[in-house]
Amino acid sequence: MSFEIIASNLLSGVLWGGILALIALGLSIVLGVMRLINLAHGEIMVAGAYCALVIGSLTGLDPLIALPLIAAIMVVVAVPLQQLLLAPLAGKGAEAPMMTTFAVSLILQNLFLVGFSADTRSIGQGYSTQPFSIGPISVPLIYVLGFVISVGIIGAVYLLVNRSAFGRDLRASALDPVAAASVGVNVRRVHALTFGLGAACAATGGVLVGIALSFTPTTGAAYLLTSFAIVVLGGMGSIFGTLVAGIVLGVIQSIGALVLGDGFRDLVGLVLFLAVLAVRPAGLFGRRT
Amino acid sequence: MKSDGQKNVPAIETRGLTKRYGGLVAVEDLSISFPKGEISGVIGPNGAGKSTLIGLIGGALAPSAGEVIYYGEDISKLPAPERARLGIGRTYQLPRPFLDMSVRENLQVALFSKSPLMSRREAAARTNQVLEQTGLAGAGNIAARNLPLLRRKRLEVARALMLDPKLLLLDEVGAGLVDHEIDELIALIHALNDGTRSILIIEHVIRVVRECCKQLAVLNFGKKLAAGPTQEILNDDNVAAVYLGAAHRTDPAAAGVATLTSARRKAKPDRATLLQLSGVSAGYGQARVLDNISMRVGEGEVVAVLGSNGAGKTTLANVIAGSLAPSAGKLEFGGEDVTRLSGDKLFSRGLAHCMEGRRIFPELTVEENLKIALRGDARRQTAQRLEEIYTLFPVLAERRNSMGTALSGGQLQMLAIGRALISKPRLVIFDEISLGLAPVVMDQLYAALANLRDSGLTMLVIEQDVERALELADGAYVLKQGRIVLSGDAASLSRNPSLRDIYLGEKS
Repeated sequence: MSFEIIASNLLSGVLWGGILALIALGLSIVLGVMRLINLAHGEIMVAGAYCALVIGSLTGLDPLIALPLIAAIMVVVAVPLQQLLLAPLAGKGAEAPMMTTFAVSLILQNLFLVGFSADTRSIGQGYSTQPFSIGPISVPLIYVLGFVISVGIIGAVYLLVNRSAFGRDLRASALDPVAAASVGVNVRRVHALTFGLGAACAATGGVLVGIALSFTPTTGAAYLLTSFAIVVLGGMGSIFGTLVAGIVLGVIQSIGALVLGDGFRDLVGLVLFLAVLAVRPAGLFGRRT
Repeated sequence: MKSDGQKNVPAIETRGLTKRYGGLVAVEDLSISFPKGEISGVIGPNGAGKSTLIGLIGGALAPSAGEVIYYGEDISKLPAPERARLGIGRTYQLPRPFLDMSVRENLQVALFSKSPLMSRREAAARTNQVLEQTGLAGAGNIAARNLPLLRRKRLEVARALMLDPKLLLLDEVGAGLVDHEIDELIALIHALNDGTRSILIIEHVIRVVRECCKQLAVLNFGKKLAAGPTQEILNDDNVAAVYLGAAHRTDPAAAGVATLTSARRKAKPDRATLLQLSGVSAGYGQARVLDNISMRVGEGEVVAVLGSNGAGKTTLANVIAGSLAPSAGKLEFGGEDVTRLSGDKLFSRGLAHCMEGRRIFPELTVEENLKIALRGDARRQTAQRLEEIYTLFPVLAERRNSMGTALSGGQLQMLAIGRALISKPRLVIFDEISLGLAPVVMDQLYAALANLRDSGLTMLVIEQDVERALELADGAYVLKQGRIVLSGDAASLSRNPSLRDIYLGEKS
């Protein structure tokens, strides 16, 4: 195996990991703030990809240009969904909301099937196959674009959570919802917006996945699992940890694919996930409780 | 400590013990020893390093330097479970039982960890014995979640006793208990001292210390300030200055309600009504905690809510603040019906709630904890509002960038009060703000509240300490088993003999 192939694979693993981190971030903040395991997270991601497909065919808009629009659409859809289905279950234990998201994931999968058939789709663009070369190392250009966009969004979410007044409300709601309400935080609104933010992260990641690779109505499940692995690896509630864990997982998946063959990508990631759970249950960057 | 034979080996001894958290030194070069077979105490201001000392002895914390010697053996390097097997048992400041297990199961978990091979019958016998000993005999099958505070503390002691410890560490078991409960606690502690067991108590409730401990050590800023026989220490001028404050030294006998002498203000029935409760009932699930409560707070008034543990005081505060919806009745605030409003909506109408247990956001900085209560237009005056709170509690300004977790108990309470005041509310509910604080800090906090009262702030004060509460308040309501059994202006209530009966539980 030549140095070029190994280096190209490692670099594309890093870049791909950035995109995975963005998808996982959506899962992580919903889990951290709302204590909700959103089993529909993968389908929300796929919904973003279909959304880009439809917008592209209707308006001819470049999917990367349409990203803010797609994110906004997802917020507009996800926030009422949360208020309608999940908010009434608050205070009824952790299982009911989780099972609700499972139902939502099944319904979405079937809606995709009805609307778009089971065909494998891809958001074809000129740059999806175009290479990006640094000397002998070559990676797909969309990986570079996807990485830059993902890290940019993750950075923006970091600033939103740690520097803004909304972020303060969000952190307080995560730590102690009752005390947060007692100092005037509208916890229900924070939860709804957090869910919207999580959906927007997933959908944006879904568009990038749709351009770089392909998707079907059931693609979401694999990304949900990968996202869980990243959240656990990075430690719940750590945005920086999520980014690093995403990149680590991306690189390990690349190495796994290189050494064992492409079909072993997800397996390698999940084995790592179990290993980390066994050794460091709070994640690499998580706080022990 | 000169005595015959092996008696002169102390139960526990520390040599040059030091614990640093980053730059903060919690315990510094501490050399101290406690005799075996006796009850000893450690007192000191909040943040003096008392709980750290317990952690270092019990093994929950690893020392940065120095040694811990247990019956002559160096145990500094042993992990906590190993020390538990050697016979060091401890309780936690805040009881942490397994909530979904019954009391009996909680005890058997502790026993199993020590003797997994013990027969079922033997384990049951041991459990019964400890339940009997700690006064929990009737509560064996109740889920720990449903125990009131006093019984949770008993459970905490019982769990430690299951391991039959040679050294028992009791970390603030008296906090939050009212007088007659403290009587029971003192009796329990004496009963545990069977002549061979050594007991080390960390306590702010001076009565417990005075009536239980033979030896006393005083910590201040992580160092030993004084150590010796209890009575000597309690009369020491230095100790009075850093810890006890003036009041406790001059009159060591527990001051009763009847001795209240300070000037009180007259009730002001002419004030406009700010808060009105009519026939309010509330509870959790099937359990009804409040029954048909009607009360009134006027503009500028200070109203105290008194009653023993489990009387429903905190539930009442939660209902008024909107964190618990009432099952019946009506709440009016500023003339508006607010019965169905949630906590954040009530806050925006000017009702602030300084919750029991402080509820500071641990991973937000001091300043963020304050800023979060500034909403809407108030955010434009952020700098000015912060400055006002920092003027009231200068120590918060020094620590403005520290995380909530890095503060001592007294500082946390100041932060909680500051957070409740910064929004300039029309009414503040203070729920048990003196819980777990050194007497001298309590004095400071109550002086601050008295200033707030004089500046015209309307307050609802929930307090265990009847004397302090009635001194501050214009009027008071006394709760018993979820009902109001007494009310009136503070002056006449403090002279009312039935207050003492109800509050101290002497009659039912």
